[in-house]
Amino acid sequence: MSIRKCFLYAYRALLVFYPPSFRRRFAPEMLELAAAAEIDEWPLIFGDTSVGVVRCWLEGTHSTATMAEPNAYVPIRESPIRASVFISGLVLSIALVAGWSYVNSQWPPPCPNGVHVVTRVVDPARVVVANAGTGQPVRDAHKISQR
Amino acid sequence: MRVKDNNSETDRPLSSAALHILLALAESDLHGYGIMQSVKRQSEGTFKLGPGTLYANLDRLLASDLVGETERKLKDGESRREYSLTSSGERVLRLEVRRLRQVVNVARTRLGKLDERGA
Repeated sequence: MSIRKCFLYAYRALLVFYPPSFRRRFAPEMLELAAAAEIDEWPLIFGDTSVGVVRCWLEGTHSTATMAEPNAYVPIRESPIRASVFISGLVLSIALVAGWSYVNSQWPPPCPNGVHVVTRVVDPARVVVANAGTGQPVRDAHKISQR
Repeated sequence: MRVKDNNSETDRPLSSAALHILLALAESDLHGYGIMQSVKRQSEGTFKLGPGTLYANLDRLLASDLVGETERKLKDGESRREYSLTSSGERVLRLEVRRLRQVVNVARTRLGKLDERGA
């Protein structure tokens, strides 16, 4: 594979990061532009496009952002999405949510061999009060809590 | 870029990139790479426009109706999109050039006074 092909492949991958509406509208032209560019222009093309991707996400696109897909509001029976695909997606989503809920309910797992770890949480406000009473500096607060 | 979206006359300056793009299109209708090359030529290489900046600005200029686009058929059957300056784009460009001329006039006067003091 030649260097130019590698460059164009990498550039095509970079264009994927643009917002979809912008990408659909300008990516083919940008790719053509990159293909026509000289080797000494490649750093400019890559650098400027990388910054452009971030700027485009931050500032938004204008020309096609408000255009809806032709079938965006068509009921599912009339859309190209098949009912079988939709149902399998729904089942998969439910399975994922159920699995996540189960893991959450069981977490953290019980300790083996009856070993229990007890964590004592010390209220920082109380440590400061105790510290004020003894006149010790704050860095010794852990010693106060141990007593 | 600081162009009003409602096609009315702009009261704010254009960005450098937008100004250079409108200037390039004032010469002739151009495709993306043509604009890039034209900007490089007209600024004598001092302003290099990359595709990220170019198409982000074209996106806004198209939405503001300062630039138009046409599909042009090539000899090999393929088509190429070319950009052109619209009448409102021309008006905005003239306003911007007038504004810059005022800035240059003030700069000349003040720099001249500085030269006199130095002499």
